[in-house]
Amino acid sequence: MNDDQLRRAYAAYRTSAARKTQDDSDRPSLEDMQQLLDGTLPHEQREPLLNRVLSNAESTRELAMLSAVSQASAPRRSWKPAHWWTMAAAAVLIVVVGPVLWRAGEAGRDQVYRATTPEHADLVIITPRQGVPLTPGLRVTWSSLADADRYIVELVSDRGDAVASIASPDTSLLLPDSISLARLRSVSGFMVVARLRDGGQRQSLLRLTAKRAP
Amino acid sequence: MDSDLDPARSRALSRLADEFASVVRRVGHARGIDPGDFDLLLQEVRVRLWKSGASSEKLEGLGSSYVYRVAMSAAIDLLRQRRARREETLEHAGVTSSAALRIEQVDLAEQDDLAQRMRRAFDGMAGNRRIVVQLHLEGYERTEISTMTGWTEAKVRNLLYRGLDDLRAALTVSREASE
Repeated sequence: MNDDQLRRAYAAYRTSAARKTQDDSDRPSLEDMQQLLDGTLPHEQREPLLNRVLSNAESTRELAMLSAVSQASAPRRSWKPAHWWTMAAAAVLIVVVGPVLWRAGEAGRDQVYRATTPEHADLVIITPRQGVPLTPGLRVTWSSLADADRYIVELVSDRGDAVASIASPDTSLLLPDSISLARLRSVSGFMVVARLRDGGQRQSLLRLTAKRAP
Repeated sequence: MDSDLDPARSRALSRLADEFASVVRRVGHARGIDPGDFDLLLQEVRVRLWKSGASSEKLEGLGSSYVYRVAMSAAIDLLRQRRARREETLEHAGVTSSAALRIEQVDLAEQDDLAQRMRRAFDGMAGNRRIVVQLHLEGYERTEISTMTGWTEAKVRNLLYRGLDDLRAALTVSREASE
């Protein structure tokens, strides 16, 4: 039996399975499927979950959709060189061209060069570090900007909604108790926005937080 | 929706949404996802990204981790709504098959016979081989199967080759028996 015949048989199986009445009471949760896709589901739960998914046509479709989303947006986990010879070519270039560039640099060492930075690179969140869940009383600190007259910490959910905005004239603040735990649980990340005296604003990169367990 | 945006923000938003959409469509097509589902999802992701920031700098600064969370959250919400409505007909579910699986219409009796033989073949296979073979036939890559199962790629490859051999043998035997 060749590949085409195999796929044809599988297509028939899938269509037949979809035509049958499904028992929806045992459908896996969507959150479990997400964990399956990002590899964070406990090991002993994976095989049973896949069995349940693959025995239900609708769950199989749901997994396919989540998988497409995951592939389109997942952070790159690793970097692999495309070919060994690109690495070799780079090494040769460094060996051959490097000394020439170094000598050229030595000739003009009295000149001062400044690196260019992205606009948000000068407003940097210091604490909490990435992945820390937000709690009332937690201190948030960031670098200062000389021309800022106040700062706003914006908490955002993974729906993109602003959960809360807290203003501070200083470069740190304590998350107030007035923000309920329920609201903090929906926070996916936060950023700091600096209001400048000339009416402009600068902002930090988004810092992701860990969600608190309900 | 973007008419009230400044041009830089509009460009940043479009670039982010377009990059996401192109990969989702490519992967989704291979997985046989209804294009209508994509349109809803992509619109929702676009809205959420739009709501997430006020400037192009923010959109430029949004890392892939955040896009992942926004997109996953949107997809799960859509699927949850669908589960709640339960309005999808079985007929609709029946026409979805991955691009690799789409075949010309065949005689229904012949198709049912194929399905029965495939079911019996799966029933006779070891669980881990069946899972890997089924995911492969659904269009998943070996690396994805490895991530989902937690098995090494070498183990997945081994299970897949042996599983496909098992499946071919079982289907051949059942076809000969029915002839």
